[in-house]
Amino acid sequence: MSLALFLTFLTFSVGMKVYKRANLPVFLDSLRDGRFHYFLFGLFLSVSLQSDEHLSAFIEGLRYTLVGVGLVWFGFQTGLDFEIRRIRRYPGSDTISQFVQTLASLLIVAILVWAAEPLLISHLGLGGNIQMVALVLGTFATSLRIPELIFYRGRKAFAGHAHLVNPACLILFAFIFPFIGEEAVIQMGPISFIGYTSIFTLLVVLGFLLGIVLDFVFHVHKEALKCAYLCLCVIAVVGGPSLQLQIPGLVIGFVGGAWLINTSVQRRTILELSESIGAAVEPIFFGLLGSLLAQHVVSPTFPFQETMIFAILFFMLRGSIKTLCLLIGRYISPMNRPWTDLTAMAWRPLGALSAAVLLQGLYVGIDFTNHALISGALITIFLTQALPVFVTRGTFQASRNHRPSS
Amino acid sequence: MGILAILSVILADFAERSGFPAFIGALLAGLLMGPTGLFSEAAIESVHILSEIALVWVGLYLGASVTPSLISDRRYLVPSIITVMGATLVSFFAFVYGFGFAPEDALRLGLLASVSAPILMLRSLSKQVEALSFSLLTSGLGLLFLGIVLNLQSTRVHTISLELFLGIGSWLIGVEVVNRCLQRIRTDWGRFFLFGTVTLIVFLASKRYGISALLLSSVSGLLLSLRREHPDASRILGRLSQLLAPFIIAEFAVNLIPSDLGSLAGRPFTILLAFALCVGLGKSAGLFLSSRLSAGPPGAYHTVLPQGILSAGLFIPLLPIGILPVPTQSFEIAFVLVCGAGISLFTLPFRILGGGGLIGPIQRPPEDDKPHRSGGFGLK
Repeated sequence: MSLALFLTFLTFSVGMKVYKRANLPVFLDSLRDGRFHYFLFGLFLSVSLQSDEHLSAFIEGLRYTLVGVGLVWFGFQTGLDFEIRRIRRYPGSDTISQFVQTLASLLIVAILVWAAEPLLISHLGLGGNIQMVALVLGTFATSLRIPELIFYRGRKAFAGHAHLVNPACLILFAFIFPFIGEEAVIQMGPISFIGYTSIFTLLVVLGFLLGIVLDFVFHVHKEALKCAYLCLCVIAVVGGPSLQLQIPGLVIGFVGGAWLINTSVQRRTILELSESIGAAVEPIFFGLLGSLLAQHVVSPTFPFQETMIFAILFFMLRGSIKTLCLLIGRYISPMNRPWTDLTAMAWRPLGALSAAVLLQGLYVGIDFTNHALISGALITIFLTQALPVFVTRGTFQASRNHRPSS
Repeated sequence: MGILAILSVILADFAERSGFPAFIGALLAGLLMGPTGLFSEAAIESVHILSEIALVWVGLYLGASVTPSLISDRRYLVPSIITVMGATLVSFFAFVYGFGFAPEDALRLGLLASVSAPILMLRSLSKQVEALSFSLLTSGLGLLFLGIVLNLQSTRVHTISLELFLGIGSWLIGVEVVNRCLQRIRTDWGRFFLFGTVTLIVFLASKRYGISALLLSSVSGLLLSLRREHPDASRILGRLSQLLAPFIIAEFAVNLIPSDLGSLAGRPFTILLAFALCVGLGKSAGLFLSSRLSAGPPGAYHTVLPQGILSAGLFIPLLPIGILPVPTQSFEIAFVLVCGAGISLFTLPFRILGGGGLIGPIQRPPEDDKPHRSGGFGLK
């Protein structure tokens, strides 16, 4: 461990100087935006600690809990994007078009994943429960990295209401999950939740509870750090039952966030605070993700070739399907845009929510065995982020300057 | 974990507004949560790990707050040294001659009496800057001496090896890297995240090498502070420490109430009470000597009298298990309740007479009064 830390610190010291003096290429900058370096850090740290069994066991338990709680946070952040007042400003046809595109791409990806079940089981070590895998991968493929503004050749391209996509993904996930969830009966103390309606109600009620308590926290506590601390504790409280009952914390967080942003009068404070908390939560999440995959990736039986093939195929598939769905969406809401705009919209990168959706699969009964599928999907995320289509360095910087957060 | 963290913060706030130390509120939260049955063995284990990580953060705060300017200020240094020495010696003799402890055990417990001052409670009280500095330096010096004593008393044989050199080398380089990062990072959130990473690494290193996490983090913070003074570091670390401290104390208190309350009947609590009061006596004697022999900050002595968060973090590793003819659990109840709460209550009449009042609003420093609404997070 000493050697690992020693090398890490040296690398970090040198890296700081290099980063300060050298201009990173656009694709590296985009990966840095996607917290790729934190993923590498988590991977490296976990690999170097693997020799210590006691530490490894400790990290395993802590990681499982923290990631589960983190999922609620990502759902909450997405819920804050679902502001009905803002959505009403857009033309109805645009909103419907975006929703139809999301639904279509989710269904197409899910059907293709379902059809590829034998391949996934034999080559990537999937343990079964293909319906849930299809839902997770469908939602994963449809999600986006937000915020994402597209610039090319010095002008801003139409982003196509990108911030509607992620809420639409989670709404669809919420509606479909109770159909195909692992547990038909959920026992919560003396109360039993049986069937679709009950389980869906449970998700919604927990989400409302989260939103109400967070609203109370924001009202009572004015100090920012205390607010943030209590928010994360409340999210941990809600995250606990979701881990225990194997229900999606993403959905609960989404409902809570949507409730909060649409009912609270302190919207600006909430958005600012969540932006700041997210800036801390995302790096930790990706670090944990790196440590989660470390033990499997270094194994000699890990199917590297199959994982890479899956990643590249899924990357191509996603882009193609989203392009197709965009063309379908043009019939509902005509867009007078050049083909380059449409292509750029279709190939927008995946982001933190995508990784969260992927890991949600771990907590709703999917057996990934050797995590090859997760690794492959993660590579897909980074491939999409390393491919800023039609973007030069100057325009990428311009797009980053428009982002509300650093 | 979430419920414990929230309840401890709420009750600590309530206790503070009622004029009691926040320590008592947090203790109450833990004692209330313990018998509820919400905590299974696995849950206790995982919450304990998080509590240890939080304690590392507090240790970093303590170390980073002991700045060269504070150490070189004789107004604080001399009274702190006298307090630590006086408290240690009085408690030492009380334990050796009153309870017949072995000298090495008595020395450790004597140092415990001097270490635990309310380094976090005073942050929320205005006009207590001098008391806070005095409290920080006392705790810091006590912890340093405790670390030296523990190392000398340790039976572990440290072999000189490449791994040891690499470990020390990576530690020193790490401190330097953190120092340089702090000079470059301009935002509070950036610094916060940096300290979070340092906390995790220190915790993992302490588990890996079997070193006390609190001592390692305190010394790391001290090295950082000695390398270069970072006022923002102390501020950022302290603000989160104030929120983490109730959680640490509440977690400590969760296990105190046994499931079978009847087992407490008939225990010789008088011995336990006397033991706990010895620790308090040592602290009081140390402060009394300090006030008589040095020109310390006026009005600060009684504010640093109560036990603080470090007693919760250090007690279990330092207690000589089995040395008293009673179960450890009952002893912990007596120690924490009396030493921590009791001394605080004993000082209450002095504070009321001093115009502090019984129930009143918390007087916060001006920088904490403004709601943070302007752009960004606004930890400043």
